[in-house]
This record gives sequence, C-alpha cells and structure tokens, in this order.
Amino acid sequence: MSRIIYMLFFMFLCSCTGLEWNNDKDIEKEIRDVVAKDGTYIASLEASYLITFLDYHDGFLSDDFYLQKDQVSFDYGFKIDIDKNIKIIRKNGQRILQVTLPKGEPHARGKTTLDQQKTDGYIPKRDIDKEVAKESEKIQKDYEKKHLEYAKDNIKNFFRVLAKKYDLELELLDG
Amino acid sequence: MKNYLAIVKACVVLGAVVALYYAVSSFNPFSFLERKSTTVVLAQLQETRAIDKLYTGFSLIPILDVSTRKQDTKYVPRGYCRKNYEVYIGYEDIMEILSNDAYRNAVCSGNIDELPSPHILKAMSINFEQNGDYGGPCEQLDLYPKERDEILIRELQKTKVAEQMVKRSKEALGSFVKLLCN
Repeated sequence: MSRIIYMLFFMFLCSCTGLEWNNDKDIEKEIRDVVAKDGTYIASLEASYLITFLDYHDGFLSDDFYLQKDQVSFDYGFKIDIDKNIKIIRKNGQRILQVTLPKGEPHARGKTTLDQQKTDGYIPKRDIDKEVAKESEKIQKDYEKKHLEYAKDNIKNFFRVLAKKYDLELELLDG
Repeated sequence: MKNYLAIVKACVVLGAVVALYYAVSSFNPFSFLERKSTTVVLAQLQETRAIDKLYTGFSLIPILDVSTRKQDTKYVPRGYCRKNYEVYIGYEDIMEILSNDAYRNAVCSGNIDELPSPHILKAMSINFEQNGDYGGPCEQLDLYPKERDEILIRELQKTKVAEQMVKRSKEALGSFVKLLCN
C-alpha cells in the first residue's frame, strides 16, 4: 500500500509541475501573440525633422532670399524577436515576464522637399543639397539617444500593462 | 478493514502533501482559466501610477516670419525671424483614456478611429535668428502658448507626415487599449 501512496504522491507532483509549466507556456504564447500583432506600433517613435535652408541677402533697395523646406523622417525603435526576447521565468516563487530589449535603431524613412520660395531671379551660391544633408545628419545625431529613450518608455509602459493583466512581475533587460 | 485503513492513510498523506504544496507556493492549477478583470488591472495601474504620458511623435518645426515693405507696386522683403521648435505629440494622460468605457468599447469592436487625436505635449523653442529690418511679433510668440501651438499645428499640417502621425498615434494608443479587451 505504501508503494501506491508514493506513486500517487509522485504522480501528483508531476501533474502539478506539468500544469504549472503548461500554464506559463500558454501565457507566454498569448503574450507573444499580442506583441506580434500590436507591438510594432508601440516599439517606435516617429520623428519628422523640417529643415529650412535659407539664403538671405541684405540689399540696399530690397533684400533677396531663397528658402527651401525639406522634411526628413525617421522611426526610432526596437525590433523585438518575440521568441527570443519575451519569456516567462520563475524567480523566488514569482512569475516574471522577462523582456530583453535589443539595441534600438533609427530607420530612415526618406526626404521630401516641401516648399521652395525665392525673390525673382535670385540664385544662391551655396550647395543646397550638401547643406541640407549635413544639417539632417547633425539633427539625427543630436536626437537619436533622446528619441530611443522615449520609444523605450513606450514599450516599457506597454509591457507593464501586459504584465499586470496576467499577474506577472515585469523585468526589462537591455540586450 | 486493513485495506480501508490504508486508503484513509493514503488520503490523509495526499491531503497533507496538497496542503503543503499550496502553502509553500502560490500556484493555482486552474489559474490559466483566470485573467484579471479590466477593472482590477486599471485599479492597480492607477494605484501604482505606473504609466502616464504616451509620446507618439516628434517634429522639428521651423517658424519663419518675413517682414515686407511696399516698393513701387509690389511688396519686397525687409527682414526675417526664424525660430526652431521641438514639438512632441502624444497623449497627456493615458490612464484617463484607458479608463474610458466608450473608447474601450470602440477599440474592442475594431473602431480605432474613434480614439482621440493626439495633441502637442511639449513645444520648446531651441533657437532664434533675426536678420534685416524685422518688425514682426516672432520674439513674443512664446508668451502666447495657445496661439503658438495653433501656428505649430498649422505648420505640421502642411507636411506630408502630419496625417500619418495622427494615424500612427491612434494605433499606438489602440494597442494599449486593446490589452484591456476581454
């Protein structure tokens, strides 16, 4: 009879562990599905920089100017690999949603000239394309870190809500 | 009789093991049948003040104002002022939107368009340049934030990205709201 008791005990433990493991895997799958469906909108911040090239010539009778407005757009975001970067783990009896954020990157979305204005017959002697490209590069460099932080905050908030929904603790790691 | 005693003993031992198991772990084998209700999730988020603003877009907007004077029959430029603004758009209080039943019902039935449009969260002038004989109100623009924001919105609307920014902002917000659908 004692053998039966031990067998029952063993079976019970196995089934509990199995159920527990299955439950974690089910939730992990659900969370990955949600992120795959909607996470892309959260994982980025859209930035558009309007660059004005202005060449202004102060004249005696009237001033001359050439104005060009360009728009350069970027997406600052994190490309999350749902299978690699999202896991449910257990630490000290607590279930934790562990999200590893890969290094964020800016993705250029192109440049468009929006407007050009000038006084009659005025042609600037400067290289407009070169100056606009230089300015765009400088702006992108200045804002990259800041905008990746904003994108990271958004994604952190998204996973906070998700973790609360499934009663999990959130652990966000830098990949 | 002996068999009955053994079965009772087995049940007692098994019961003790089960009790011990539940005592040492918070495990509930039926927890996969449970999800926290929206009200509970919202209350917990409110309590911890875990989230507030949602930044969805940024734009660097130059405001250029050219002063003119009449010369013969036409107006000619006589000076200009240029200011560059950092403009962040998004939602001020995301919890307020998440707690709104009408928005939640709309999103849960697939109508993301019914979500509110984003607005300017932060606008900051980062540089100022004046040239020629400029006599306009450019320098005082920041004293009137409402008027300044209207000008910035108009400038943003002239770009090709404005409409798309609004669409993407709603989609980003919708992703949050969707988390609370049952």
